[in-house]
Amino acid sequence: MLNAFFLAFAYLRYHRITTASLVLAISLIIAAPAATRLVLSEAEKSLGARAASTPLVIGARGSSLDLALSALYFQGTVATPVTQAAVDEVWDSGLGIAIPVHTGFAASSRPVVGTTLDYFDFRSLRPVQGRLFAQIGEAVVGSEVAAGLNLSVGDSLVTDTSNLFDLAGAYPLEMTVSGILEPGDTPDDGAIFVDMKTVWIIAGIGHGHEDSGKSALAAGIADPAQRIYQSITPENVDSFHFHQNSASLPVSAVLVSPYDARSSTILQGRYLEADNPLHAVDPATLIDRLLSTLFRIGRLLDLAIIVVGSAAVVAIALAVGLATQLRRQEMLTFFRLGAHRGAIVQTVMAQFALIFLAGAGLAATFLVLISWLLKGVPFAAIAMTG
Amino acid sequence: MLKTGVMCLSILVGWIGQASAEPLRIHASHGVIADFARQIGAEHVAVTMPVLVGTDPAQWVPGIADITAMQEADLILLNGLDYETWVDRVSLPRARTVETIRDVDIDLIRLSGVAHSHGDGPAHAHEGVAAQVWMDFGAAAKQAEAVAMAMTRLLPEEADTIAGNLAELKSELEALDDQARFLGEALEGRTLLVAQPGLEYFARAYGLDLIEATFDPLIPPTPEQWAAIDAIIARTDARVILWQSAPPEATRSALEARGVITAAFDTGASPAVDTFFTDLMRQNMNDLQTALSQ
Amino acid sequence: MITLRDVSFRFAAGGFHLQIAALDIDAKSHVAIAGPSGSGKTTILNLVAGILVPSSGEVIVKDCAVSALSDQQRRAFRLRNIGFVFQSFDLINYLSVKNNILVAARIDAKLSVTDALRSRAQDLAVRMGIGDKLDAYPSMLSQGEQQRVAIARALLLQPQIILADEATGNLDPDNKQAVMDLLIAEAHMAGATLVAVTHDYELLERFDRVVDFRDLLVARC
Repeated sequence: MLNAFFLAFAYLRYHRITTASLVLAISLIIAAPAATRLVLSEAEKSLGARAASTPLVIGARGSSLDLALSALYFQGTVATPVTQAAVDEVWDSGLGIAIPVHTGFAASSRPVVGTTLDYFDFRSLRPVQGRLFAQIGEAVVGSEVAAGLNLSVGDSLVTDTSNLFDLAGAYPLEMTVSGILEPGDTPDDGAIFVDMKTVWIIAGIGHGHEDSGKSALAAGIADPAQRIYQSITPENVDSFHFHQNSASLPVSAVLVSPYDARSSTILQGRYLEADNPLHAVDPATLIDRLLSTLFRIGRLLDLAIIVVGSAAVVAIALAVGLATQLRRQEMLTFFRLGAHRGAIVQTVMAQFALIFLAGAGLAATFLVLISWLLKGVPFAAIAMTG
Repeated sequence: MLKTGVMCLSILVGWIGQASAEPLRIHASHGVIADFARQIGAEHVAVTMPVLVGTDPAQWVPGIADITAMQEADLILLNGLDYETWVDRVSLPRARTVETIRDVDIDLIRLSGVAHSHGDGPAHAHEGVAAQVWMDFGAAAKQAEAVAMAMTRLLPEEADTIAGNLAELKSELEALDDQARFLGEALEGRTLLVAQPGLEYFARAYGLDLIEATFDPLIPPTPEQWAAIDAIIARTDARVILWQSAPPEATRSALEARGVITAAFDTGASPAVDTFFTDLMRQNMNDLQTALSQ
Repeated sequence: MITLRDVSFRFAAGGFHLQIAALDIDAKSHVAIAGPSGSGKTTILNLVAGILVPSSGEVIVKDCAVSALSDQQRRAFRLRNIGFVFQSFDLINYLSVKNNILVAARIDAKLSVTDALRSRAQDLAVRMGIGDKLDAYPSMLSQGEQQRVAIARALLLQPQIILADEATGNLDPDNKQAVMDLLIAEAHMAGATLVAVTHDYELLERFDRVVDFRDLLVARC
């Protein structure tokens, strides 16, 4: 049998181009449907697990998908934010834990997510270096952000300006990295987390002032020469304040963890009415529907691949048949030299086996590469733009 | 034989489990809440008050290490009403944070905001809402209930113990309430001076006529402040001044020279060593009665 | 060593019929079977090698009735006992010179390429004058060199019978002489029986015995 493989290998090596073409064709036939399954599986894992771990999301009535994708995957921003009052309403109901999430800002093109410390308990996130944010101006970054931007605890990063002429007064804010989260293979790895108060400062709703001295205060006059800070330091941190009632401050979405099933049902019922400006979304159900659509598309793709694959197999069989015809003289020579009947069959079978193995190996390589590439794919962003 | 062995083993494992169960880690923002938490939770809680002995918790500003320690607690007990001036700029987990004042149904007292200074310090005024609600012992009982409810949620298996301890504490607070009412009745028509703010709710709840002297606990009064006190003494029968801790000796002597006796009346917020809140309040009222009888 | 008796052969498709009364070839003899092209000389070699089976009669090689063996037996007998040199060289184009020489060891179920065989292949190549071309492929060789490779291939397993079918038919005159001399010298050195079919009368004097193909025939059509 080894001799058969020797002869088969020698033949394939001599006819490199033909061999490479056959191997490539076979690898594509194998890899294409497997890759489709891989993409769908990764999408399911990426989107599904996250949705399953988030019982409810409350937000302004509108696109449920946009709300879920923004709140869970930090992709894009919601068209209409809600306010802190929506968060307080859930807390006051005593039915669950409400965690505000604010998206829409970025630093070095990574999403800056405003939230509270409850988020980290909710997602079981712990810092692998440093600590969680303790005061305004501090940021906790995901593992991918730290690696991508080469950040360590104590480093600074500045928020991106949304546009050059930001009339709303959103200032680039310099934040200090207080901690780096342990990797979790979730969208949290690619996010920068700050306290809600920090994100409101980035939005220009809160700001700090240089100390104007006791005379200005005594006179009750705000000094027009006061400078608005772009970084929060131990010296100016106490000067930061908000001129708005906290209940009216903006929140993109509210993640809710009801205390029990009964609480969940009551909560969802409260937001069912059409005239309620807020609505509650069950992310798991929503993402299931999205994934069902994806899988239906996947099945269509499979059908197309089967048709194309079958054609490719026929073409390959034809090519192999023709090649075998061309080798008749070689077969005759072997016969005339006294080769045993099995020798020729074994050599041809060994040839097929080698081509198939090489094709399968190449397909496996493709799939490993695809699998590695899929890790960075923002399925949520794709779903959002789709 | 086997059945008995398994049962003994289960009991042993359960006992070991119980014995080695970690107490609930509680952070309290001032001494009164800390005392309530200790009494209600007993051996099931480990209460920390990060403020050092003798420091006014209302003036305390937590450092990063303090904030981090608070974040790691199982339960953070705050007073509310901006008593903790640092709350707005730090990050605390809301799910583990309780404002004990939240469900207390009480008319809040706005501070008058008279400008003054201490020594060479800047002029300022005590403004906003008075936060020392616990000095109304009925309200203090409500705060204690809030502490108990938070603990029960985290230690449901100790619900009965917690309820029993709460009942005992409320009983003591009721007794204080009675004593304070009696004191108030006895002091009807009399005016008292108070050196620092903090007794607004006590005065209102028990009918005391208090005038604030705006004295600093440690810095000697300015001539302007002495003049103001002299004016009050001239127009009223105020002969006792309530001081949160012992006044500086010179100040005490100067007051005595004016015929004003100092009586200690600590609100209990500062971490007083080995003096439980109810004991402290009883001591306060006793000291006051002693001062009044002089 | 080789005996044909009353052999009759016809192809299944018809159109060719060969009848030979008798042919005896002694061991170690060098015999040339001469005759015009297309006369059927190759058929005799194929009958001796067991590639073809007579319709009737006997083909006995080394006391073995080859004509009576099964296909598998004939193949095995052929591989071990007969070295065949073909007119068109019939080298395997995707194997190097070395591996072409060794191919017999790769097409037998019981043989494998041993160090001894590798060494013999190298020796044969040197003797054939192509020792420096072991790693070359047939497409890189001249016709004369290719035929030398074919001869070395035929001699690898030290066969006692060497059959050469118009071995010099595709060579130029210089190479013809050289290759035939080489073939005969190797057969002599190995003590093998050489039966060479040729239509080239200039080469006949090298052989111990020349058989005119027309003398063998009883019938041919």
